[in-house]
Amino acid sequence: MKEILKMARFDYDLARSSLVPEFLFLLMVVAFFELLFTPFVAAGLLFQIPLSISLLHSFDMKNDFGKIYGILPVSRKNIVHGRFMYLYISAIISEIIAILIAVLSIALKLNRFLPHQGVLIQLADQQFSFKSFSPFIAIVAVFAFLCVVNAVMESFGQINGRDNDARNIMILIISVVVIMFGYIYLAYEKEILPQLDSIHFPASKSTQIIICILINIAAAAFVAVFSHITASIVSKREL
Amino acid sequence: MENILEINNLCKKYEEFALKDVSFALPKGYIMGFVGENGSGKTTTIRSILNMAHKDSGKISVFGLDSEKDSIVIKERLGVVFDSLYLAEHLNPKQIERQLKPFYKDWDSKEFARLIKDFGLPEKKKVGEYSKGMKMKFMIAIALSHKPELMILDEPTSGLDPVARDELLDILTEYIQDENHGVLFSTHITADVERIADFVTILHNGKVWFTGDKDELAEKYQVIKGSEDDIPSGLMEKMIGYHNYRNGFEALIKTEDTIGLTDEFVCEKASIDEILVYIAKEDKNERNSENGKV
Repeated sequence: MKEILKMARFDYDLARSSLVPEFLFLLMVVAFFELLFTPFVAAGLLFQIPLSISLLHSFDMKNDFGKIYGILPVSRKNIVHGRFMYLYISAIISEIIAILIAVLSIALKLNRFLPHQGVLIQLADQQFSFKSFSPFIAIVAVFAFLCVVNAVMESFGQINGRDNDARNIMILIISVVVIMFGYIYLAYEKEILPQLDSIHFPASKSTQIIICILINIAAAAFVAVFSHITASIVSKREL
Repeated sequence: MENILEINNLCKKYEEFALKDVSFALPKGYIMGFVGENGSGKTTTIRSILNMAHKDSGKISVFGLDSEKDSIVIKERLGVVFDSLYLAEHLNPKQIERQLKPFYKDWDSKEFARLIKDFGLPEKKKVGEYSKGMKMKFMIAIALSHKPELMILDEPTSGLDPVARDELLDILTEYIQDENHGVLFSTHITADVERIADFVTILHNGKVWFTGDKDELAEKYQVIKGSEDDIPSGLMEKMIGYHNYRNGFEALIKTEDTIGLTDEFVCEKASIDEILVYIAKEDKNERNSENGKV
């Protein structure tokens, strides 16, 4: 574990100088969406995916890191686990910030400063009212999605090479679109799956917290599985 | 003598290249020059020592430990420098120190600061903006800061100007002074080996052509010159890299084979550079004779 944390820190130190502008940008996006329509704030976090992954990928490619990985007293598997750990921690930080902003904006009832006009504003009002959709579950769900995307992208990148990043992104986007349209078709046309507007999250805070924790655990497990698969494949290769 | 590095029958096969039964040993307290033309297998051997390349067979011991099983312990005690910068180019020395320090329990920040100062490296500049010589010195500063017992350098002097090369060799000579360290450095600049190495290993086509004391190599081989007409029977087969010129011939020969030769032949001490050239010529001669047979 110590080695994994050291490698996660190695990646953090690598990206740190470029992280400040990235983080400020992310914060602005999150804050902006938070004020407008809370449950969708987590969508702002998606900006972090291409930013953080492409940042590390470009460092990997620009600097001949195969050599430093060969020199450092760390096992190859832990180098891979360290990278996944770093990506997971950075996603968790984004999640925490989003939740904190949500808590703050709801507590301060920031929606009262919004001009009451237009569809988006109505939507925002609805979301602040907690009637149908918990903003926190939405944030955690997008966080989980972000973890999946991060893990898949990193895994593809390490196994197939960074040169195929563009292809990997295309595969990912197509997969998401197919899943989305597949769901809409099955839910609204065939009525096999529940329609989104009919889903009502339990109003009880404790149940919502449990759902959030479960989503977090599932995301962590997904990242851990991908980390393990990637490490097993990559560690057999030469540097 | 205790060996700090020992390689026995190392074999590694790639599609178009193979290391064949590479064996050599570096005793503690000495510098070994690892020479050979480009593509002779120097880097593959170094990558095998570092477990970056997975060997097919053979045994590599560093500090008496197995290079595969004890790889992490070995790397703690090893300083490695490659021919090109492998560190984050957008960071300055202090940021890189912060990045690497946690990996080494013997990391000495004071020593790192001293080396940066001694080497005249600008502290606030990004290392990617350093000159080639500065990058090399920086990598050495990084390698020396965790007090390694063995330094492995892959082509450290290639691309450096004579002044930077000289400084680098001085650093290595100073490092070896306490006789508890070892240095293995690969190069195709044989003048560097002549200057600081105690031992030499010559690699050719993936095989060890010579390994041992540098002085022994100098005594073992000579360059022979003379007229082709004067070559006695049986001598031609003993010559390495025979080459016929308009005014005579030149070749490499074992000193023991020069005993009894007449004064018509001139025998001179062979430099490592000349030895490498004659080995390559011998290869060419063999290829030509094979083609001739076809």
